[in-house]
This record gives sequence, structure tokens and C-alpha cells, in this order.
Amino acid sequence: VSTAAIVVMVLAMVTILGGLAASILVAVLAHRRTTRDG
Amino acid sequence: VTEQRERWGTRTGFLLAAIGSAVGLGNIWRFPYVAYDNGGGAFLLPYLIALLSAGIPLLVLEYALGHRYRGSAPLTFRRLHRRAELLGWWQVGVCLLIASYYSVVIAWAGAYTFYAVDEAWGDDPDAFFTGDFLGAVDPGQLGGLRWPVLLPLLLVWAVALLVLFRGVRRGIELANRVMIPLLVLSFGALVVRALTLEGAGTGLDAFFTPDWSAMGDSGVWVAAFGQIFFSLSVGFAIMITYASYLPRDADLSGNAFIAGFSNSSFELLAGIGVFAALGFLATTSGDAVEEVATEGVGLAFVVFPAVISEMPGANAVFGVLFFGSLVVAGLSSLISIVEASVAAIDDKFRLGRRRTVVLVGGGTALVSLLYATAGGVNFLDVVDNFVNLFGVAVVGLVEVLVVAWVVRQVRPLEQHARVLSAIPLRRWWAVALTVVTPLLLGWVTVDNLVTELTEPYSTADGTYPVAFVVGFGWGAAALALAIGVVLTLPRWAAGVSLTAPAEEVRT
Repeated sequence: VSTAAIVVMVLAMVTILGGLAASILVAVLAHRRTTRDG
Repeated sequence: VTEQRERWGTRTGFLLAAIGSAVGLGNIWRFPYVAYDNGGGAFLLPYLIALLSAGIPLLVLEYALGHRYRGSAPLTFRRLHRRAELLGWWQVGVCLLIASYYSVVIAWAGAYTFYAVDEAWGDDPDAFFTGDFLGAVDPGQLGGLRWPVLLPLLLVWAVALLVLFRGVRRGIELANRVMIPLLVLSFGALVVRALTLEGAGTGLDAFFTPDWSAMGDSGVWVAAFGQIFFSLSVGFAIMITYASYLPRDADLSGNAFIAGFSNSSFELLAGIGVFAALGFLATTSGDAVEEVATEGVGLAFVVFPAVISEMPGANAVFGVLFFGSLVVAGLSSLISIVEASVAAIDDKFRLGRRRTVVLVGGGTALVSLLYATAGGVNFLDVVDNFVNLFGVAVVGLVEVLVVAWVVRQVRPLEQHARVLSAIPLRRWWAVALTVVTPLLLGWVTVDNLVTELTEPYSTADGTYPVAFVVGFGWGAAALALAIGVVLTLPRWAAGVSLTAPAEEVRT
């Protein structure tokens, strides 16, 4: 696999999977804050 | 009086159902080729921009609409504005047409899950698919019913209607709690196996190597926005309906980001798996990847059987994983498409869920028999193309224009969603909906129209007669609108409140 392809593949995975992980994290933290604050 | 509406049992249940609706056949057989054909790795940049500037804002809009107005698409739009009801029924018309042929493709995949066990397609998957399996006849001819298609089709409808019969929580939510983990596991296993095949690197090279010059091609941007739009199940009643079952304190933007990124994660996974497999096929056959790369029905039922036959071992397992994944991905989407119609009819006529499921689901199942005939594949191909390009895309564009520019409800919906959203909406959301999405969806629609008028839709060898394309292609797109008009005319059942429910959220 060429270097350019590997770089793009890694960037795509970091961006998309990272976006998913960040969305879940923000949602979970917000839920905890809401629960704690009643 | 507070209307009793079904509710999701849990947030995870809603998310799995929303992801199950978005992740469908297109994720597996459309995205990989669209990306490859539009700049390879470079395509991912406009794709991500489209996701953030149009896809997720549209998802938030539809979640906010369904959550604020607590109804299926027609009831939601009726409550939004007295004259907007037709928009909801037009979307239901699109859903009914799509469900009628989408179920047949799932049936094909179901049949192929069994064929994969002993590679029933032999040495010529193309001849087997069009000849032995479909018994394809000339465009416009019906031929007789095809038993190899009819039997799995009946099974597909039985499962879908049983799930819908059981309702939102015990049916749709429960089914997706089983199907989505199963899909991720089975497709994940397939990708791992594909990556270990000889030549997988060649395929990944073809898929990810960026052609940055493509960024200057407007067609690439149209393809990126089109892919995001068609992939997220927005614009045709589903997400509005699903959001109407959310609890009062649901996190709208958080759910939209999770569903949107989950859908894209699966598309990326599919791109890796499909192109690793195509690289293997190219290597074993001595062809270039571009000669074996294709999309849609050809990829699933001609190219993949060839990949399976060339495998060095565990061919049947690979085949069952691939076609099984298609079945599960398709079924979870089909359920959402039919639910959008069932909820709409039940909201308006108050027949009760079970009677409505029998009426709507049974009626759509009967229509789907058209596509289970020997000539069905031609009808399916043409109807699919026109209903997507001039049904889903146009009604989605009209939806955004109506909400943003005709009834001007983006601001109130933003206020409704903002209090509930973990991820702040701010100015970007309003700009995305009032400017970016209408412009880009309008551009996609005009581009599709120009293409269709300059190069009328046909097969690669140009065998569709003009009358066939006009009658069944343009006819199907017009039929979706006609269904919408017909269903708008009757009065709502007694007791259905047509005014917006009281705002439950403090802004």
C-alpha cells in the first residue's frame, strides 16, 4: 500500500471514528451532568 | 388531553434503530464505488464537509420536527403549518414505492446467503444471476413470478411485518438491538478476512490514494453531498417518525452526531472491506482494480460471488457473512421505511397499529410481487433511479425550503432543540439549513435533471426503450407525489389534534 493511501486511511479513521467517540463522550458527560443536577 | 404516543424504551434503543435505518444496502454497495470513482481518498474531504454542513444539520432538523410536533411526517407538517401536510404525504409516497422494491433486493440477498454455501453460481455468476436466478426478460415485459425470489420475499415481509406488529419498543427497538450488533460483528469479521487476502493492499491503494485534482471537479462535490443525503435516511419521513417516539428530555444534537458518525464509520468499514476483496479478485484474475470495481447489484450479485469462488478457503463462511450482512442491513432499513408509512396512516385514520400494519405492509408486499417477476429487475432498476433522484432528493429539498424559507421555523426549532442538545447548535446550524443545504441539494437536483435530460437513463448497452423509462421512471417519481395528494385529501379522524402540542421544553 502506498504511503499516501496509508496516510489518508489513518486520517479518515481518526476523523470519523474520533468524531463518533467524541460525540458519544459529550453525550454521556451531558447526561451525567443533567442527572447530577436533577 | 395528552395524546398517548409510543415511546422508545431507551436512548440506545432509539440510536440503534436510527443507525439501523441509515445503514443499509447503499453503505455496502454504493459508498465504496462512489468514493473510488470521485477522487479516492480525496473524496473523503468533501464527504466530511457534506456530513457536517448538511447531513447532521438535516438530521437535527428532522429530530427536532418529530420531537416538537410529536407525529409522523404528515401530522408533523400539518401541525407545523396547515398547508404543509402534503409534504409529509409525498414523503410517505416515496417510502411506499421504495419499500416495494427494496424488500425484493433483500430477498435476493437472502437467496444468495443460501447459494453461497455451495457456490450455486458456478463459473459464471453473471449468467447465473440474470438467467438462472432472475430469468430476466426484456424491459417492459413481466414474465412469470420467480419462485427463487418469491419465497425469500415472503420471508422478508413476514419478518418485517412481525417486527412492526409488535410496536416501537417491543418490535423495532428489540429487533435493532439484535440486528445492529449482529451486522457490525458479521461485517467486521468479513473485513478482517478480506484484509488478509492476497492483493488486499492493491485494493486499498485504489480506494485511498487521493486524486487531489478531483477537488476542482464540481461533480465530486455533488457526489459527496448526494451520498451523505441518500445515506442518512433524511428527507423521507423516517427520522421525523422515529424522533416522535423520543422522550421529552431527549438529546437531539447528541443523537444526530452519534447516528451520523456511526453511519459514516460503517461506510468507511465497507469501503475497506469491499476494496480489499476487489484487490484480491484483481490480483487472482490478473486484471486491474478498475476493471473489477463496480457498484450496486453488479457488485453484490456478480463481482462478490466471483470473489467468493476465488477464495483460498472458508469460501462459504465469507459468502454467508457478506450476503447475511446485506440482509440484516437491508431489513433494518426496510422496517424503518414501512414504519414511516404505518405511523402516518395510523395517525390520520386511527385504525390501530396492527390493522394499519396489515393494510399498509400487506398492500406494499402485494405491490412488491411486480419486482419478483422475470421482468422485475428492469422495473426495479428504473424505479429505484428515478424515485431516489426525483423523489427523495426533490422532496428533501422542498422540506428544507418550506421549513427554512416558507414557514420560517428554523429559529423556533433551534430554540426547541438547543435546550435539549448536548452539542451546542449555535449559528452554524441555522446557516447550514437556510443556506448550505438548500443550495447544495438544489445543485444536486439540477445536476441530476440535466444529466437525465441529456443522457436518458438506460443500461450500459442502452436497452431501455424511452417509453419504458418515461412510463416507469418518471411515472414512479410522479406517482409518489400523486400518492401524497390522494392521502392529503381525506379528513383526519375525530380526536386527532392538528395544533402543535404545548412546548414541553423550557427555552
